[in-house]
Amino acid sequence: MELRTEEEQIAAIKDWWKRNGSSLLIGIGAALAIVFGWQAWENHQEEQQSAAGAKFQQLITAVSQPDGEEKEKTITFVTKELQDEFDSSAYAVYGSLILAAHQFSQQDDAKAAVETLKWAKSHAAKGPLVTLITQRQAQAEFAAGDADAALSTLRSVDEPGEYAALYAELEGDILRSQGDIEGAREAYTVARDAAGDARNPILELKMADMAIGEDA
Amino acid sequence: MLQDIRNNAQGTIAKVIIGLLVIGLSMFGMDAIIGGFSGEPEVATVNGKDITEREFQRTVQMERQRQLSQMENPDPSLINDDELRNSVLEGLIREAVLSQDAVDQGMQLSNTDIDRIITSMSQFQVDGEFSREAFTATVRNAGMGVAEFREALRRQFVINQIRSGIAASAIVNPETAKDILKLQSQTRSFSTLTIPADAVSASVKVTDDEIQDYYDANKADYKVPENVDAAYVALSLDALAKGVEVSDEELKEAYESQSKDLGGEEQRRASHILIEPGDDAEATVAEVEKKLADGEDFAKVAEEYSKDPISAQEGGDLGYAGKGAYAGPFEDALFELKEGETSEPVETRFGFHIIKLTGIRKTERPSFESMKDELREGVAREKAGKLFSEKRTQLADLSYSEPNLDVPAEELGLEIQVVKDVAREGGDAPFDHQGLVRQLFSDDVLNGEFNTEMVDVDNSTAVVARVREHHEEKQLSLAEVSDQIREQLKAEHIQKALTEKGSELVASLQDGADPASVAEEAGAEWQEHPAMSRNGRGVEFDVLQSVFSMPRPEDGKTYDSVAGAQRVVIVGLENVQEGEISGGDEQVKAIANFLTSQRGQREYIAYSASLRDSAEIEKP
Repeated sequence: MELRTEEEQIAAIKDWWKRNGSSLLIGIGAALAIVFGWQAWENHQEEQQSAAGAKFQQLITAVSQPDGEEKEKTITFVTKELQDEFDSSAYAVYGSLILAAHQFSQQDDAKAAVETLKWAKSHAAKGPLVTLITQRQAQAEFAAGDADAALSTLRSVDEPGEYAALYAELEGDILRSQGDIEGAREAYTVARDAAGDARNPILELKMADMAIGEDA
Repeated sequence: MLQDIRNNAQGTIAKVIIGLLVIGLSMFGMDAIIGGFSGEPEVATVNGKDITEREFQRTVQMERQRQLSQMENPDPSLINDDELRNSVLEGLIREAVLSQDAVDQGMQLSNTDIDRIITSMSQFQVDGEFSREAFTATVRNAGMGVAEFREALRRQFVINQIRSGIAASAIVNPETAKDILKLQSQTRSFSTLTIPADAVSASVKVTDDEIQDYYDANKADYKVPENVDAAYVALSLDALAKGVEVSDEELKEAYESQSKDLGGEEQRRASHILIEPGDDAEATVAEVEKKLADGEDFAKVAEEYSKDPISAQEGGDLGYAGKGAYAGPFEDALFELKEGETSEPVETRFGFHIIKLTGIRKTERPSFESMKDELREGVAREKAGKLFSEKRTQLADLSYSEPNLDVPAEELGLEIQVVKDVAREGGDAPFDHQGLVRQLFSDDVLNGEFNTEMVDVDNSTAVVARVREHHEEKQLSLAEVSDQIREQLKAEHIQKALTEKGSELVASLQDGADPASVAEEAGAEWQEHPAMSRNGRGVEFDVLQSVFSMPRPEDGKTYDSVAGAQRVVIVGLENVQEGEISGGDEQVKAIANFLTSQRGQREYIAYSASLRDSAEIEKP
């Protein structure tokens, strides 16, 4: 379809525009809407993350302050804010880990630490972080005087993977405290084997005291 | 064909393509589309993300610089490149895994956050404010672009956030800590019976057949490693310095210039009152000046007003100092004062100073005679330095162009020396320098007729070597090593016999044999060791270790034996005294802190290893 004159070409364009113009405009409009919508959503996400990150940094600063009641209050307060306002952010999880450590060793409240760790576990992304938190929960339960709960928490994880040595050593500690010497012996041996070449003098000390030899 | 394209351009497919381009461009920018085709070469891919060759090379460079800066005498030839590259690559992979994990968890810093961090970093601050020049200079020195630096910082920052989230938040049951403390302070009471090797050595025989069998089975252990006899010439600054003449004039000149630093300089003792800059600074200055004019004691005013806390306690006294110690305006004012005078307020970057000169002294110079030897050596080394660098260049050239050491030795007046038996692991000096040895065993030098390159084995010695004779690895004959094998086998047999003897005695003691008669029979005596601690003295380490690994005695004693090359020790454990916590809560706290931080470290390592395990890593 060779177009001979300019008029004819213009007429053809006009004709084409009549047929396709509106759909083209809608197409461009939709594309722009998608682009800007996407960017706005990303910005929003980024702002949320950034605000959570700032809160977390505030927590880290609080941790580096001199020990005292004021410090513990700040840590508790900031972490609660993280948990309430940014409960889907990983910062809230890490903040909770820090709070739990303080409840545990500074505030002498192992029970509160258990609850905080449970919160962290239920909000953490699946994977190695959950495995990590689980054994901390067991440690806190153990310290809170509930050795049975600690054992069942530990044993709820089938494949501790890289944490195998840490899991087994804690299990051994719990069993030893319960007077289950045979069980502790077994657990410590698993811990030693899982650690491979990395030496662990504290574990060796406990094992020697229970007369577990190299060949066990 | 063109017609077809034009027709199709109006079709739906074309619109879709253009639409995609519009979206792609506006979302990811031009780079993504172009970069996607021209991608940089990568050294590894972690979960689909590349570690680029450029990033890798830069990190290798930085690590090399770091290692060099830690050496006493920086020497690049001492760095093992393969090891360095491997460890850098592993480090980059670990970092990539961790930072991807951070991003997956939504731990990202916004651009504003990054900017805030950068502007508050102390290394980019000049006079308390962010300096763009300092920033770009540092970044450029690190071999990065600004965007790249921001990216690296972003990664490091979130990785650190995770690290502090995990490693610093571990917990350990305080009861476990107490348990460990008790174990550590536990003591055990036991007795030992030592039976020397003499008791069994008479019964030990080593036959020729045994030696033959052992030799046949362990032939590989009896080899002389590949080695060379190496000839070398060494150009040394010290040797050159010995031959340099130093005239008296030169010594005098050196004395003048060096003794200036050592003394003869005027020093002035200053007191000052510092007033910090601020709104009321001028008022304060006026107040201080008034008090001084009214005749108040400078020291008292300084104590009251000076914002330099250390000197304020001393009445403003800064002690004696020479030129160059203080900021320019301060120094100028101080050196214009007469003794006892007080200056007008002087402004420096710390604020306003009112200075009082309280003393002038000249330090004493050491005498020419006392410095003469030292000066002679210094001047000689300095003069020899020029000669050294000339000769060093000459040596490098000659040893490269001449296929021997004779010409360089003759031209430079050096002596050819020989060191025998230099193995790949090195030999006597100067072949204790790994870089030189590596050259010696390079193909060209080992097989061909080439010299090594010139190697600086330390700051003031340059060496060129060549191979005189190359000895391949050689098997030693049985005759050459049979004595050595006999000794070794004998020692093994003795230890075995001692072990057996120990087990025998332990068995009979456990069956109720009388310890006293066992001792008598063995010709030895029981030694008592009451309440020994883990690090107690007077008992050999292996014995102590096994004492603390023995089961607790239930009734009577438990027995065990510890054999070594020289003796076997029979141990009778009487009782175990459980440890006590003597240091109170503080001690428990200290050990709990230790256990907690150790556990935190291990947890973080396990976390990072888990991520590494599940990452997909490709190395092309």
